[in-house]
Amino acid sequence: MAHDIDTLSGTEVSRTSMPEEKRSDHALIEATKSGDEAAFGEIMDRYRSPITNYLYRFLNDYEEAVDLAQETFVRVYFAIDRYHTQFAFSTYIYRIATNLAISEIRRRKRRRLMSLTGLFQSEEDTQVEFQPPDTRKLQDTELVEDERSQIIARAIAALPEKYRIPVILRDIEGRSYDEIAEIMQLGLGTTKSRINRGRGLLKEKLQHYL
Amino acid sequence: MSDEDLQNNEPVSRLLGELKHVEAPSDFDFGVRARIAAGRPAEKGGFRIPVWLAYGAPLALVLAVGGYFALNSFYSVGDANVPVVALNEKANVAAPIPAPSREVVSAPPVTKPDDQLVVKKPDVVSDSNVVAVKKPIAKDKNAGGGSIDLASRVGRRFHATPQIPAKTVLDLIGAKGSFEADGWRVQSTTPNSLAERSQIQTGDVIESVNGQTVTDKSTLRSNTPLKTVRVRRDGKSVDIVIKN
Repeated sequence: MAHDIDTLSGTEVSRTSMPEEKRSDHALIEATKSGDEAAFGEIMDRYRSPITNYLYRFLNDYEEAVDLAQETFVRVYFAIDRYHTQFAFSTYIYRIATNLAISEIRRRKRRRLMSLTGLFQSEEDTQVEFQPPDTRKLQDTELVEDERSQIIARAIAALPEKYRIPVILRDIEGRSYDEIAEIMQLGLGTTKSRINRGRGLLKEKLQHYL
Repeated sequence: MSDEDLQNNEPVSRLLGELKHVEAPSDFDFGVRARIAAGRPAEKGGFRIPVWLAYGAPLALVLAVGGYFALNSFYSVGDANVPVVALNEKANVAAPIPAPSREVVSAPPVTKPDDQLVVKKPDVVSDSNVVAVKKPIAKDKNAGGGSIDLASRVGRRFHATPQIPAKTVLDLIGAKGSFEADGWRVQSTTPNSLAERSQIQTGDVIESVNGQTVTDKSTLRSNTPLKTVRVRRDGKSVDIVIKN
């Protein structure tokens, strides 16, 4: 009996000491579909910070970024049966996050339009300052960046949407050109052109720091 | 896009790459699980106003307000201080059938500090006529006279050609009196009224208004400015230009 116990104990020890094989995103999705909640938790572990960071750079608002990042995962969860594996999961989740962020930007625009000042804002103004920089101080002291970083962040946030998305995905998130083209549902040439154009606009604004 | 372009912007790319990556908060998973437990994706912003309504409602409001003032000014063409009256061409033929009298008051007695005209008493008219006074003629609040501009506007709503008894009009311009065989004999003029300012005097007999003979049967139409009055004074006819 004691031998059995030892044997079982030894088996258990050997199991936990084995390096756990890292499952692919697709495997985690399939597991989630079959009711494995831990698999979904693992997806969140992998993507919560990248998505939060992406949305933070997009909106320049940490709390809003966290809120939309959480909403992104909720939408992934409820639409998980509609996910098809011909796309990389990262492409899929970044696209959802991008769509949510664009909706948020448009909601802000509508809110601004409804205000008295927004009623008289010219079209030119809206193009140049597509997203007004959020100058509120961040609540989390760990996120307080130095002045230089804040200026860069505001410059990014002031980029037109069509340039901001690919520039953040490429230069901050490090996604590939192909993946960015998939996320934005654009051709590769157009994607590269927009990235370059976005960088050019930033170069003009950040000349002092280059 | 050339490789040279990409190389030119390489410093920007490096600058962005140096930005600190923010982390999700520690309670991130909890928030996601809570939303999932709620059963559906959260609707951002709660109640949503449809886009067409968000843009259309302010536009409709602006059009409504603008339209109101445009129509208002359209029906108030002419000098506000000019009593808009004219002699009815059929004045001597048919006077309006008197209906049970009632009071029509569109401008209740008010007292304003900026010494605008105040109409103190209502006029008694028949149903077929509309008389009211709205716009100031004199600065003095005790002054008589008045415009029938508002009456004109009100009249249009109920009658194509609002008719006003000549007696009422002459009273309104401040020429108090009564009809005699030869016309409207002025017994007094209200201080600072149109009649007084136009040099209409007590004892004058008003023979015509805007060239049209005035009798006790006359009615006046309210869509022509009152310009001239002919009076008989000391046996002579005198043309008087109404001064505002």
